Amino acid sequence: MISDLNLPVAALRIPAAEPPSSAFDACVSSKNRLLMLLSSAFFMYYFALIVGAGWCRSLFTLQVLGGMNLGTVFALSQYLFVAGLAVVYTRRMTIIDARIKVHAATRNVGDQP
Amino acid sequence: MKCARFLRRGAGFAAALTVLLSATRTQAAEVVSGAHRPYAFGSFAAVILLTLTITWWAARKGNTASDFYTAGGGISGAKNGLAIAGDYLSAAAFLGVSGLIALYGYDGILYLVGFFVAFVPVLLLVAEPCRNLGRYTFGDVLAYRHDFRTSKLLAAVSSVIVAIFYMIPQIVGGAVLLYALLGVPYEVSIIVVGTLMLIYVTFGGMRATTWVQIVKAALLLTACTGLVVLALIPIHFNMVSFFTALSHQTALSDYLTRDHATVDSGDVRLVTKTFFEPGLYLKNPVELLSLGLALTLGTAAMPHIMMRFFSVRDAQTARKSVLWGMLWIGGCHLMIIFLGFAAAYYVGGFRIAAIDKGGNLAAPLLAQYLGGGADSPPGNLLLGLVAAVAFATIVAVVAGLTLAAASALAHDVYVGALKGGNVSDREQVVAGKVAALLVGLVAIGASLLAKGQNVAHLVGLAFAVAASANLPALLGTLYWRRCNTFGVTCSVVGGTVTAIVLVLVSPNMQYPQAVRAEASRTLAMEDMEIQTLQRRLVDPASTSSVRDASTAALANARRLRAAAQASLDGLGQTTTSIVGLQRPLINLRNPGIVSIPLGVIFLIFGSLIYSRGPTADDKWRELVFRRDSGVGIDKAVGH
Repeated sequence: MISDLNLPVAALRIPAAEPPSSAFDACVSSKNRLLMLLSSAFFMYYFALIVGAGWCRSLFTLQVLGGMNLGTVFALSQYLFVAGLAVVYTRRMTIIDARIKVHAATRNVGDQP
Repeated sequence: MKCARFLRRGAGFAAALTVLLSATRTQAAEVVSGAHRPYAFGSFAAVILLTLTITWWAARKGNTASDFYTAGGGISGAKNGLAIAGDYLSAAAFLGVSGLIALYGYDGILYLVGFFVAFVPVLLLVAEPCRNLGRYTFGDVLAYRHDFRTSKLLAAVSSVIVAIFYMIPQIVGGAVLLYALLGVPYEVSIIVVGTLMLIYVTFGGMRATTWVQIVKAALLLTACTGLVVLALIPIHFNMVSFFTALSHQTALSDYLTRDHATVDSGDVRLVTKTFFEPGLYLKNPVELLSLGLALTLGTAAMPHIMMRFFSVRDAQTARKSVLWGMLWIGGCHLMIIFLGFAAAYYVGGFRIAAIDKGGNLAAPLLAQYLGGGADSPPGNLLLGLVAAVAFATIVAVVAGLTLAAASALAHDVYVGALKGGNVSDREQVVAGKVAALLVGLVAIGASLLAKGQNVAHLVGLAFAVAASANLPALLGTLYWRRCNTFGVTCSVVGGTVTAIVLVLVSPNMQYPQAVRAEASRTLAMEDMEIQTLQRRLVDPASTSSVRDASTAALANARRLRAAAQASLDGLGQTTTSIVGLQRPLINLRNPGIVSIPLGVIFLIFGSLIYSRGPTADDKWRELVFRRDSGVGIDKAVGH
């Protein structure tokens, strides 16, 4: 799966025997899995900040980096985390988009919903 | 000929506005002295003229329904990203949060983080499906799968409610800014902001609104960058030494021990440490969680944000737009965080709170300080520029909201629900302009009535309604096979009503007995302060510096006393809130933690108890295909 990130051609691999509609559905499933994974990661990371700032304040006052406390580092890290998440999503979706384009064209001709 | 006439009118309007603003200023403003006000007025006039020129240019480009509602649907990803930043970076972020950070430190950062990360659900769950399924509005997305008229009406009602709730604090914020900095009377300021937003939307539609937002975002980013550079020069661009100096500042320590009851006096370093820790402003953890939920889930269902995705070519461009938007918004937020701390360091909490208790003028005051101070022309010119950018921020956001509400009324209610889609292109444009006029007049009227009221909670309410009503309906429509029209109806109606009712019984409302007690306390305190300061002024032992400080403090004490007296006078004989309560029923300012789960429950419950139609599965398959493939979406017009 990781190799797919760097090999767009791999994205176009379609099992020869697979009917067009199920190939499209497989693309949709992989997209939904990606959305679930990234959404869960995002909500867990963000609400860890809220829970920390609300209920674990003493933990957030620990000095960790230079003069900065854990709370500040964690709050600012949300920007980096979201940037990383956006990069992963974009790269994965470039691959999924290419697969969907192939399968949607096939389905559009022969298997209109 | 027509265009030249529009330009002449625009220039005439800007000139007339400047004269009107100059002529109607009062003596209330103390931030900019009378001698320096022409600088600030000039900056405002320049920004207004620039936006009117854009509107004139946009009005020439086309006048079809597609032009009016989506700028032809061919805005590039980079431009749309900048427009999203312009649409989303409101005065609440620039003025409000920089002030919160200046007065309360760390807790202000939590607001900005919430505003920023809210774009993750937009990116992952909303932007691309909306582009593939909708044409002009949120209602189009719901109607793709559910009953046409019901979907259109529900979407229109919730979109208009959210837009109006969000618009009123923005318009009032613009008026307060003009009043505080230039002394322009409240009513005149409201009419100026309202007239500008109506001109942008009715003459230029989505294209003018987009370009006004792009220019505003560019101005805001430039202003923030300029202020950050100016603030870093005195400390030789050394961020570490800046924060070290701030954490050892006696003035900050004094401010924290005087203005925050929870901070004990003692060692300066130990006192200022609390400034970088959570809890000075957001004391209630449940409140913080509720706010976080409303911000992260509400943004994805704000009608003016969703509408931006209909103005691009396809889902991939919508994705690019969000990424560009996040880049600009994130960059701006990081600068605002620094500006908040810089305002605390250079201007100081005492002065910021004395000018405005909520700290909303921290950024303009920082600009004035960095430019050379209150008595210097460069200082006041810089303040005028920053204030003008803040004003542009407000009108751009308000224009986007007006367009979103007008589109919902015209496209969903008139064209969709009433006419069943059988209207000409020209009728759609006329309906959009008439709806914009209606929405604008309602917002102006409500803002005029809101004089003296605390309307800041309406921002939280707008996010809460969007998250509780629109988002469950939208996500259910997009991702849940069992979702049906009845579930969506329950979610939109139930979520909206729950959020509004919870706010009506919350501490956000005005409770006359509490306000009267607080005002009486302030009157007694300020009377004592005034007597002390007057004695100090006539005391022969006082030095000139003590007299100067006492004069400034006396003016501030008199201002606070007058405000408290006005508050008491305004209450009259009332003893209960507008819903007849003497005290709040719940202790939550933001209802999200209750209303959002309820909105989801309403959706699930409504969908499960009502049987789905015989074509429901076919519609679902069709939606999934269109949602993920984009096959069949409208063709765009290039820009």
